[in-house]
Amino acid sequence: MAPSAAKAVPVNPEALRRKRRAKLSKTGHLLLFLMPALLVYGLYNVYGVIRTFYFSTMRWTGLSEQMEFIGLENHIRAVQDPKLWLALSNNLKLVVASVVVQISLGLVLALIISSTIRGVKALRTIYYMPMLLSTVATGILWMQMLDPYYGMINKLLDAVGLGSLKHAWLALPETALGTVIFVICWQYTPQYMILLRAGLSNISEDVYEAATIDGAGKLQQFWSITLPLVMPTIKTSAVLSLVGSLKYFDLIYIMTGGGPNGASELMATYLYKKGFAEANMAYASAIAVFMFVISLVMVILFFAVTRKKGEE
Amino acid sequence: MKRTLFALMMVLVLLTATACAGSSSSAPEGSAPAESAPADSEAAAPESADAASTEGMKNLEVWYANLDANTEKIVMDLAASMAGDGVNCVAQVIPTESFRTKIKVVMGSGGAPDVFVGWGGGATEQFIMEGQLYDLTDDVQEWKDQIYAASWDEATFDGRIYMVPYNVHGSMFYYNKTIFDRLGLAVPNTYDELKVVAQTLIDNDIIPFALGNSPKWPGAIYHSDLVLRIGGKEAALNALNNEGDAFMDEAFLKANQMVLDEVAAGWYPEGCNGINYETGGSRSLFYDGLAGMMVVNGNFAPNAKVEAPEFYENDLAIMPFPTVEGGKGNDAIICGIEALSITSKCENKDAALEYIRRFATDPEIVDRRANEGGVMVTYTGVKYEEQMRQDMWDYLTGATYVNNYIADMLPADLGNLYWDLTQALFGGLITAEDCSRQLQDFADQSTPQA
Repeated sequence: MAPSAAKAVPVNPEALRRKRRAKLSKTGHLLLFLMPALLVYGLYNVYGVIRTFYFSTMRWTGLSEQMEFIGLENHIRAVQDPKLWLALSNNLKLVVASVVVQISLGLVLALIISSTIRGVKALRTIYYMPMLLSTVATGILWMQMLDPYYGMINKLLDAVGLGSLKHAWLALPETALGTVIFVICWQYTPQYMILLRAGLSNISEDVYEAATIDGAGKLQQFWSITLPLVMPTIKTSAVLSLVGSLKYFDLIYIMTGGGPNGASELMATYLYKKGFAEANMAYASAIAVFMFVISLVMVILFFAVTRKKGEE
Repeated sequence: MKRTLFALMMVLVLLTATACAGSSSSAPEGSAPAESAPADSEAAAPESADAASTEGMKNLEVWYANLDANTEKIVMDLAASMAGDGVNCVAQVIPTESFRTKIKVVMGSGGAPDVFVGWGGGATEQFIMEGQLYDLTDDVQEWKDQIYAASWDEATFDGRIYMVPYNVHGSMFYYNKTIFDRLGLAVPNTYDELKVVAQTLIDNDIIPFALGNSPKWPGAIYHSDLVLRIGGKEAALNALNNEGDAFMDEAFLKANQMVLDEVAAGWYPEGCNGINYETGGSRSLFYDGLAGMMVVNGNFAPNAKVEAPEFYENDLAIMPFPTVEGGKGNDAIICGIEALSITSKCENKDAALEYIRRFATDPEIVDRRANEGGVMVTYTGVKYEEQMRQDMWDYLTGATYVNNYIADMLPADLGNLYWDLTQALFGGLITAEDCSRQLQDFADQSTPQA
C-alpha cells in the first residue's frame, strides 16, 4: 500500500498524503478516546430523549408493558391543558428571577471574593455554603423558618417592628411561588459565583494596570474591562440558568408540592404528578416533549439575540 | 506502541458497552433477589442471606413502606425465620414517598418484588387492570375469618381478593383532654356541639384544630369524614362509581361549605396550607397546647408517644367524629388499610402466601406488631395493652360501614385533584360550588356517567 519511492513523484504530494494520513489517524484516536463518553451519553441522553418521544405517542400507564399507539393525542391534550400553561408561566417567572438575580448577585459575590479585602477566605466559604447543603435539607430548613407560628422569618419581622409584613409565606397563592424562588436563588447563586470567579481570574492584571495608568476609575474599569471580558462566562451561566429553571423540580416539590391550588406548579412537578402519582407515563412523556421543545426554542432564541447584539 | 494503545482503547470501549447493556436491561426473572434488588440505602437483609447458604432455597423479595423501628425489627425477624422453610426472604423498607414512585417504575420495567405493600383504592385497581397482581381469593379462604371483616371490602375488587390487609389506620379525632377539662368542655357528640367547643377554644386563644395541610392529605381526611357523615355509604360509592352527579350532591357541597365556614370562623391555624404535618408543624401546635383538637389517621398516636411522651400520657385522648344532623352516615367511619399483595410474576407463590399468612395472622407476630410496633392490626384475636389503643380498636370495629379515605379510594388522577381542591378549600381559595364542579367535570371526562 505504501507509495512507491522509485517513481519520480514530486515530494510535495507525498508529504501532503502523509500529513493527511496523520490527520486522519489523529481524528481516529480522538474519536476513540471520546467513544466511552459518547456511548454513555448516547445511551442515557440521546436514546432516552428518543424513547420519550416514542412513549409520548402511546397510551401507557407505565405500570406494565401494555401500550397502544395513539399518535399525537397526548401532545394535543398537553397543548390544550391550562394547568401545563400555568406551570410554564411559573417556569418563565423562575427563569427571569434566576437569570437576573442569580447571575447579577453571583457576579457581585464573585467580585467580592476575587478582591483582596480582609477575611476573603472566610467569605468564600460562607458564600458557598448554601450550595453544599442537600436540596431536601435546604427545603425542610426553609420550611421550618417560614412556618407561620414557629418560623424565624415572621419572628424576625416582629422583632424589627415590621410585623405588618408577616405572612403565611408558603400558604398564600400570592407569595408561595415568590418565596420558593427566593430560596432557589439563595441556593444557586453560589454556583454562578464560582463560575464567574473563574471568568474573572482569566482577565489579565495588565489590562487593569494599563487602564489605571490611563486614568480610568474603578467603576469605569468594571464597565469597560471586567464586564465585557467576563461576558462569555455570563452568557454560559445564563444558558445554564435558563435550562435549569425550565426543568426545575426539587425545592418546589419539597416546599409546596405545586400548591396551593397550583399556584407554584412547575412543568417538572406537573410531569411528576402525571407520570408517577397518577400513573399516566405516556402523558408525562408528552409533557417532557413539550418541555424539551420549549427549552430548545428558548436556548436558540437566546443565542440568536445575544449573537445579534455581539455583532452590532 | 500505537497498536497496544489501540487495543487497550478497544477493550475499554467494549467494557463500557457491556456495562451499559447490562444496566439497561432488566434482571432476569428468578435471579437472586440480592442481585435484582435495586440498591437502596434502606435495604436490609437477614444476616444469613449470603450466596453460599441460600443455594437451592426459594427466593422471596418483600417491599414495605416506612416502618417504625420496632415493626422493622419484627419484619426482619420474620424474614430470617422463613429460612427454616427453605425460603431466602429479603425484606426492604423504603420511605413511603419513594416507595410509591419506585413500585410503579419496577412494575413497568419487569423488576417487581414478589410481595409488596399497598393501600387499596384506585392505585391498586390500576395494578389489577394491568394484570400485575395475583388473585388471592381461593388461597385466603381458610384463614380469612381471622381478619377484621370490613377490611376485606377494601382489598376486594369486582368480587376478587388481591391483597391481605394486615393493618388498619382509621381517621381519628384526637383532643387535648387537659385543655377540655380546664375550660369545662364536654366531648362534642354533634357537629353543633363541636361549633360551641371551637368557639370556646377561640375565645381562650386556642386554635380549635391543629392542621398542617401542606402535604394536602391531612385536610382531605377531615373533609372525607364530613362527606361520609353527611352522605353515608351512598355518597362515597356514588363518587367512586361516578353515578348521580356524586360530587354535585349535597354531601360534597355541604362538606365544602362547612370547611369554608370553619376557615372563616378561625378553626384552623393561619396559613395552614403552609404548615407541614410531616415535618412536625401541626403536631407541635397540638403538643404545645396551642391547638385543642386534631383529625388525622391512627399513626399519629405512636408518633406522639415517641415525640411527646408527657403529652401522650397526660393530655391525649380520642373521641368519635361528631354526628351531623340529618346525616346518612353517622355510624360510618373512614378507615384505610395496609395490605400485602403478590405480584403475578412471583415464582414462589406458596412461599409468598405463607409469609403473608404469618405476618397477618400468626398470634405471636401479630401481638408483637400491635403492642411493640404500636399499629392497629387487622387480626381479630388481638388484645391491646394500652387502653387508648383498645378504645381505637373498639371504635373502628364498632362501625356499621367502613370507607377508605376518599382520595385513596378514587382513581389516582381524580384523587390527586381531590387533594388539590380540598387544600384550596382550607385556604379559602375557591367556592363550594367551584370545588364540586371541578371534581364532577374531571370525573365525567374520565368515566362518563351512565
